[in-house]
Amino acid sequence: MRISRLLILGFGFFIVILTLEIGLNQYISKEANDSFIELRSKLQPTTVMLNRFSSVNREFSLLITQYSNVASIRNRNRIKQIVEVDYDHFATEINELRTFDELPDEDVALLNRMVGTTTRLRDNGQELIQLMISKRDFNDPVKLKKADRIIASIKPDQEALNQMINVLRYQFSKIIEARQEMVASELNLISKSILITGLIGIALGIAISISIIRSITNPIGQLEAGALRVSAGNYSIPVKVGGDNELTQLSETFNRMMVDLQDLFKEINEAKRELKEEEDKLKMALDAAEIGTWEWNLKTNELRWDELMFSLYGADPKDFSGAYDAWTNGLHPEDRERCEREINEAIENREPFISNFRVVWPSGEVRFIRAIGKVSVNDEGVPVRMFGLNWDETDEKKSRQAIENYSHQLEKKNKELNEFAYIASHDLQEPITTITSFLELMSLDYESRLDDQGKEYIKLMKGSTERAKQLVLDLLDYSRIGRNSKLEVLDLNEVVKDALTDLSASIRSANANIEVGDLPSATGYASALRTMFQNLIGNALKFRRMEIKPVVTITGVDKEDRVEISITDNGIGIDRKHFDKIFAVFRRLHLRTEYEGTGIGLAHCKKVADMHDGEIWVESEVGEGSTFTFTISKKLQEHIEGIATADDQLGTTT
Amino acid sequence: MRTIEFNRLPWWLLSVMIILSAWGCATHDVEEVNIGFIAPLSTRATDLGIAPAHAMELAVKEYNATRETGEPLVNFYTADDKWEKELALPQYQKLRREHNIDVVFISNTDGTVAIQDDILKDGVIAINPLNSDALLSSMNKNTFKIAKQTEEASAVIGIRIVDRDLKNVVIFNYPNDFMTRATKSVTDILDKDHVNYRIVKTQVGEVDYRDELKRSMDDGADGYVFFGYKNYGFAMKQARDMGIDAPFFGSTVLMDPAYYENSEGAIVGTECSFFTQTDGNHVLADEFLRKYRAEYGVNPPSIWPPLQAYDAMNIVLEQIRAINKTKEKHEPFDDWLRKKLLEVSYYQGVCGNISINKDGASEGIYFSLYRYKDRLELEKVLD
Repeated sequence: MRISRLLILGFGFFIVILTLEIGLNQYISKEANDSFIELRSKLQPTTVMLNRFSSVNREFSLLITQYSNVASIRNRNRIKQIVEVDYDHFATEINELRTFDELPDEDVALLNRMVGTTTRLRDNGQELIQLMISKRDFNDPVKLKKADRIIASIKPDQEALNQMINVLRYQFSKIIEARQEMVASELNLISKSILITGLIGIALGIAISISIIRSITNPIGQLEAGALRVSAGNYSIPVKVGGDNELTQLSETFNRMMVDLQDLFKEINEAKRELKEEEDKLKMALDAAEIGTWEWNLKTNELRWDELMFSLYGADPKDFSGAYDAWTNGLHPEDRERCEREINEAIENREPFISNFRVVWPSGEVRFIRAIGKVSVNDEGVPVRMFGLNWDETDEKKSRQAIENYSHQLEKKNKELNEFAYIASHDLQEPITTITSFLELMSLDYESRLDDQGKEYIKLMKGSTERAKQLVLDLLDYSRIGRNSKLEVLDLNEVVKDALTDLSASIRSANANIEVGDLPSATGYASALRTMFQNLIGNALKFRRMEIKPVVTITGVDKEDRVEISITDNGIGIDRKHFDKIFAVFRRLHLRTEYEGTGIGLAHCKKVADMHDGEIWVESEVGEGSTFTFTISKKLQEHIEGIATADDQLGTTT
Repeated sequence: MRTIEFNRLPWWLLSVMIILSAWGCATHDVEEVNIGFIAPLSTRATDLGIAPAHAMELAVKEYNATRETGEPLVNFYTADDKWEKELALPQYQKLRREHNIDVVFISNTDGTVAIQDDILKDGVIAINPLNSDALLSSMNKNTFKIAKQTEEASAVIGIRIVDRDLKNVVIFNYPNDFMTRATKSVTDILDKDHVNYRIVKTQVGEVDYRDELKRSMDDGADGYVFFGYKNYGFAMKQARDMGIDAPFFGSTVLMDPAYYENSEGAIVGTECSFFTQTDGNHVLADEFLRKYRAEYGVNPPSIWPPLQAYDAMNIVLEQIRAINKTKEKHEPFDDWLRKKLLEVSYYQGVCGNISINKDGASEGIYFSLYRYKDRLELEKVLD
């Protein structure tokens, strides 16, 4: 049986026994109490009243025995008291005794007689004291004779009343005796019932207690032995507990727990091995990457480095103090204060520690170190430990510096080339204009003297010079892009609006539908961006499909680090293989006779995107349309300042 | 674990009903009862006013100190009628107006008559704790007398005159109902035993009785009865000064200190009807007098008025103590108290065992014959 049921059964049994005992005791106690109350509040007072009644009756008898008593005022007052108050009162009390159920019928008749006798005594007494008032009355023979007659009638009534009172007292003494015996019997019964039920309860309680204790302690002993075996590392012997109760379930759970523990220890050992392997791998990786690890106990100020850390700082482990100062002493004096501030902030704000600093080796060599670290806190959130990594970036930094120098040199050369293109195109304008002017003069002055072949040559020369002039103008425009421009915050909606105004004639001519979305603002060069939009929208109109109405959609997205603008058309599209060629200068995909232009427009767009530290690309399907997308960096200002700084550095270092 | 859910509405309703019924029971309980006492607290007959007022106050104090939960608080108020019947009604109305009294004790017989209409109209129970006589017993149903019977007490003097074999007495009669009724009680006995007497009706405030005394002396009066108050002290003095040595008899009010002062000692030897602790329940009466002295620092000048007043008040308080157990919710207060007082039988008080009969008069207080021994000191005449 389950222990809980056993306990409930045991306690339930006790409660039933206790309830029965309480109920029984209550019942018997109530009976005894009722008897006792009746005894105390009715029977005993009745006895007292009867005794007093008897006493008063005898007193009255004595008072009227002699006439002289009646003549005394004091005795007259007492007689008055008896006949006016006492007899009336006792008559009332006797009358009320009729309500006693235990009185036999003959006693009820006795009560009636007592009331009648008492009333007669009262009336005769009153007549006597009204008759015999003063001492003179006792000398009046007529009154004396009358008084004798009254007293003669009083005396038998008094004697009869006394006898009746005695009978009644006897009856009540019997009733009281019977009631006292009843109370004693009931009290005895209470005592016995308490004793018997108590003994039964104790005997059963002992039996149930022993049963419950044994059912609990035996399995617990077995479980204890099992637990001791487990603590000794022996998981193989299961605990066996008989029966079907909670402890049996507990032993089964205990056995399952042992099996689980066994499996768990296996898994732990496996995990330990894997962890060791991972640690070895990590150590190898760190060694290979020449990354040093460190750990700093904030409470004890103990600083621990691995071997690589010593090599990064050019330090000898023998000279290492093992304290925080050992690290700060190795720092470059110019970086020391900043590094200490950064590490303190990391501890204070419980943030990762990320820093670059220089260390000075004992040999005087300066090395660039990259450091990261993490603050570890206890359960109360108080920082207790820091650990992290260091690696040497000296070579990488030098390489990056070289690359940056090279790229800035390239940018400078590019700038010089732009300057050159500008100057060249500007200077080429003049001779081309001269050639064009002389060709015009030749046409006017010598056309009549030239044969058809000569005329054809002049015509071809004029065409070539026109193209040369256009090429020079385009080249000049290309080189002019960004010159003398000022960086400003632009509402791209306004920039597109200006570009569309410039293209209004082409738009009307193509009967195109231009849809402009809500474009974001951006920091950039206004004229360059307007040229960008003019070129891209103009291309969309130029390379339209004649069989459908051209639709150009301009959308913009404000992203975290850039603004992204797309111009989509439903034109002829571009073959994927030309995607990387179309942004080159004077690159054309179609014959000049098919589409006008020098092929510099998308080169303009590429240059404008570069100016904005952005990119430009195309996605297109032939016969379906194209989407040109370009970006404007949000860090354009920093980018330009970086270039300027690099220029300055280059200016000083090269 | 399975949860047993109760529908809470019935529990709420049950709780509300229990609270409402408890509140209802509480509000119907009588929590306070106000009792007034109209008595001579100044001017004249103060021995019939001050000491009874103290006795009643003591009884109320004892009641309030021992009352338990459900037993109402009793407030006690006094009003001075200067022993003038004309002041009884105004003082009663004042007590009603200011304290809304439910019970009024009043010691003056004429005053008791004066407030009859008002107590019935107001539903107030009136109790005379000093006098009970045939006139008072004919009053309305709300009037009770828990006191000696005037006729009976006065008859003691008539019997004494007869027993002393006096032949010709003169009775000085103060003009109020009590003294007139006492006079009648004496003359009834004298008539029966053929004793000559002459009644002298005096006036209120009268101090010179020499003419009537001279006439009585000339008539050969052998006994002088003074049924009146302190001014009759002057008469006693004037009588002795005139050479009258016949025995003096007095009423129940001789213990007024002013009586002795006015008589200048001539009152000594006067026989009167009186009541002391030896005439009642000696043990209880002595205990009461001990408490009285402890509370007020003096003995009452006249013992029977405070003894009767103490019993009268305690009989009422005994009923009030059980009011919330015995009174029906809508039963008028005066109906309830009247019924309970009429049931009083064999009340064991300081004056003895007292019952109240059907006409509201008590029985069980019987006066004896005393002699004025010295200033404010009486001795019982052992016959």
